[in-house]
Amino acid sequence: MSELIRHFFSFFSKNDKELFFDSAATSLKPDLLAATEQKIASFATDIVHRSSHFAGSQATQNFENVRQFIAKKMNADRSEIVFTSGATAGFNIAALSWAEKNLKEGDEIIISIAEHHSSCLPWIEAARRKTATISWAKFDKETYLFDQKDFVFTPKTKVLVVSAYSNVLGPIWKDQQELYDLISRAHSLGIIVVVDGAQQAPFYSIDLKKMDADFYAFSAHKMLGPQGVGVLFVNKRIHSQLSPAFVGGGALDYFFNDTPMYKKMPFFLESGTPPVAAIISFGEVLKKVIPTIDVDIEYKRIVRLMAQFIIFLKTIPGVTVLGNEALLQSDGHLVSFLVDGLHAHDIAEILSAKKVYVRAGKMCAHPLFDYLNCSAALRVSMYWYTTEHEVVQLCSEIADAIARLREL
Amino acid sequence: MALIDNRLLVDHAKNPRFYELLHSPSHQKTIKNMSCGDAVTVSLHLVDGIISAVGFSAEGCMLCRAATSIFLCNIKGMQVLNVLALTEENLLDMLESREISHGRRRCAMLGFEAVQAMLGSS
Repeated sequence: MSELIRHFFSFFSKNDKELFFDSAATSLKPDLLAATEQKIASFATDIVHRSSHFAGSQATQNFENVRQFIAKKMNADRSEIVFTSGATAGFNIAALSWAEKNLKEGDEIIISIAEHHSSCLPWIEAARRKTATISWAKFDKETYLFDQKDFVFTPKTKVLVVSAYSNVLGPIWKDQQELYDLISRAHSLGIIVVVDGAQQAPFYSIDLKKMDADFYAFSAHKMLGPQGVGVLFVNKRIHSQLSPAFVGGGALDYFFNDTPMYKKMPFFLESGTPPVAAIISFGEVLKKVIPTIDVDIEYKRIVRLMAQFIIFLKTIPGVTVLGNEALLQSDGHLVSFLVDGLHAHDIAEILSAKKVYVRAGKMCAHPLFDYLNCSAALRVSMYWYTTEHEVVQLCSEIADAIARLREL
Repeated sequence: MALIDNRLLVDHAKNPRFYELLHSPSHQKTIKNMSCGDAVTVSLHLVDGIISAVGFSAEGCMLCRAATSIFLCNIKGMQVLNVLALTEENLLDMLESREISHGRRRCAMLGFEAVQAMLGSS
């Protein structure tokens, strides 16, 4: 089935074969993406929500169609879908717009230890600005899973920051309901919940209404889209609590006695000129590439490949899988691992020379690596276009690289 | 070419030279690469503006260990001013590898950075 979607990528028709197993960092891009951007560039276009002429109106309509499509796909209202430059920008906007009016001295922000720097740093900086405190929620190192007791809320707790799916460990909740229950518990105490969806959204396993987070952010470039585009979901419930994170053209409605009156959401948080062509091109990919596959069936196929890969890893002496192995085998699209006595970068270097691309390092999750007391790890991630044949080749190359280093 | 195919680097990774910190160094500095956990400590002894003794310890990848070893072999006996004039390109020439990727340059640079920081502030 993956063969169908591979036709969208000239990457796979090159003679110079490369094995790409770093989609969790950024996915490959279908040719349609650049082709659409090029097509848009050949027409008169304009900034959205400004000009009344035909080009401006058409750009606005196409742009808003993408917003509507994403909102429908993820079960949200279009006023809740804010275009950003990526997940990092989304989390920064969330922290800037909410913390300004609502975070006070002495308040507490609870952050899961599994957070990517992009989701934790904006709130660490907000805490510093407002003299609030940070507490880290830590999972059981035996299971690598969070449960309710890992999150101790107090009357001072105002914000909770968690990932739906870790960019290092993969699944960190025994099931989606565990996360939903946590969000519900936090809300019952008036706590704002920020969810990092960067590794979950690319697989379309999200119902934003059901999850009911206050903020949920993801990046287009991890899901076949362009770099420089992202989405921040902002729950309608908190729209009235926000200040504009940035101000400028696009967000202003009118001046009333010299006082700026801002537009409603989502434009309230969209000051400045967005990358119109990139967002419309992302929409084309969502509408034309993804529907060629059955995402439920394809996800199961990817998970099966990942399970096979983990079984392979377990045959290598000295390999430690970071994450809950049982859940990785039933819900894994990425896996990180350590090889005893060998440095991740040395293994990745040998693989790279063979044109096999995996991720090595701390994956922008230093608090997690410090908690696990390990330095750098290797990460293999798969996406819709990954084939069984590629995974077999990957296993062979990893076994060879480890053997070569151990012979030294 | 993979770094593992560079004989000089492999030789120094397997058998790093001066792989022990000096007992009474005139200078010692640790540099870490926080992104991957590599850490290199270099100790030097200077006599009359010349690097008379060198030593190091390293925790990390093959490249950071080998590159520091090769670099220290090259600068032992050199005048401080001449060492301070060395550039990243000079280091890559010493390693006989200009192909080290951007992502791994820092691994190769840790020992170099430690020495430059020590001498630059002395």
